[in-house]
Amino acid sequence: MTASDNAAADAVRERVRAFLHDVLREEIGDDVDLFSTGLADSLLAMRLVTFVETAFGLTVEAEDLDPAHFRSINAVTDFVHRKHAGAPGEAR
Amino acid sequence: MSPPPAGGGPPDFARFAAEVVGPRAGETDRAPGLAPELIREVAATGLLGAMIPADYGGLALDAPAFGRACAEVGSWCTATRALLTVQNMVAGAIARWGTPEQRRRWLPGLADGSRLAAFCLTEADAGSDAAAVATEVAAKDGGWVVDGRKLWVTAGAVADLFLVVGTMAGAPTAVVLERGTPGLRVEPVGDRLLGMRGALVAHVGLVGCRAPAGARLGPVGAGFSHVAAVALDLGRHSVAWGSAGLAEGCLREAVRYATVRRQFGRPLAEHQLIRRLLSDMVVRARSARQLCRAASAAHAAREPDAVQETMVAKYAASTAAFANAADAVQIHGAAGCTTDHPVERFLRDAKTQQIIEGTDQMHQLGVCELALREYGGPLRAAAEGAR
Repeated sequence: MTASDNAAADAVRERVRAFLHDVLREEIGDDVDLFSTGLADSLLAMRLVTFVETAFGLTVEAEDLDPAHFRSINAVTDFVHRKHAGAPGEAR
Repeated sequence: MSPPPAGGGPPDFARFAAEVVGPRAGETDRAPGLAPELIREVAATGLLGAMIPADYGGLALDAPAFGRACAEVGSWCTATRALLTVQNMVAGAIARWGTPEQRRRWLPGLADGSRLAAFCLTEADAGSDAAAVATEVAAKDGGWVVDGRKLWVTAGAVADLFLVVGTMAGAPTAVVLERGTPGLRVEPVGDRLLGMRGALVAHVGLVGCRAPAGARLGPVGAGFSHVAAVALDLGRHSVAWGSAGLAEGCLREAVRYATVRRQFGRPLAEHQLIRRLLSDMVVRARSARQLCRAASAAHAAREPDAVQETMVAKYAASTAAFANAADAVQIHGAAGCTTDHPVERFLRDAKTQQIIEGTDQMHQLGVCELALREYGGPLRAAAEGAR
């Protein structure tokens, strides 16, 4: 990633952090698994999709609904980066 | 159907509801079941495809416009409004998560009403705990096999498409089954219902139902969290508006009766205690509509909180509808306890709206989260150790 890419990723990560902090009302580590820890439920799953679409101007397609893309702050950040780059939303 | 208003735009849904739906609501309840010709007239308005994109033949109404239409129809007949609700729930899930081929295959028929849709989620052991569905979806011979039993399926008695939420090796998975699929059997239950008796509700048995590969909607694992979630959110939004309309319908009938019926030498509406009942009904109905407007605005703006704003609206509106129906019956007295007046049907229908698309109690849990978020501390202490 270039320095510009890194800065963009940091900006995305900060917005995702802020959204989840607002919803969950607490600080969460960037790699904490939202689903396996029970932090996220089905309501949050759909809200997270809507947030990602509206905040970052992209469309989440059915093939993007891999839980790995939404399981943590860093996973969402990477997903947004790949979508903006036009690459498939394949999980790491 | 009613003609479109001068200057174009969508048909006059208020007039259609009052002139076509309202006069047949009692018959729909008693039959029980929406008559095929009434369904065709509803389809002719475009309301069955109200939120479907125009590319597929739908009216492409936004959330506020569809909501208002649901209120108009709901103020006369909850069963008819329920048909709009479930059709747009299934269509919305297909439009949101379907492949281009699935959209082309299913949406045009849903838009023009030539095909009716049902949403199959509830089971004997999965109601409020909807994620506990036990219906099995298995991969076989390049397609899917579905086994299970779904309960209280609105429009299930006549549906052509059944959006079934099941589980594939523990992963929630949604599949669309078509009427005529061997092993799919419907059991109408309308005559056993308290309310919504005309909504063509059925139990749906699924025994070895085979479906092609293209029948799965969304990925394996997303059947509940995303596919059903979209449908349920649209359903709650429609039920909220329909309930707000029902609350207004109760008020309309109560005022009509209170201005005609005379006791102690003057109309009921001239008695202070009746005026208090009517005033409370006004406030409930208007409050419900305002919350519905807020939910629709959140949807239209694609706000992530739209889901919870919709829960607030649905909870408030269904509560308002039931309270207004009870007061409307009270104002009618003994007459309100007979089928001579629609308010007894309104009362039965209103109770079902406090249960369908999420009970009041499940909504209270979700609504409370808004307050906790605004004023409270950490929500999930149980997850504390994970951070």
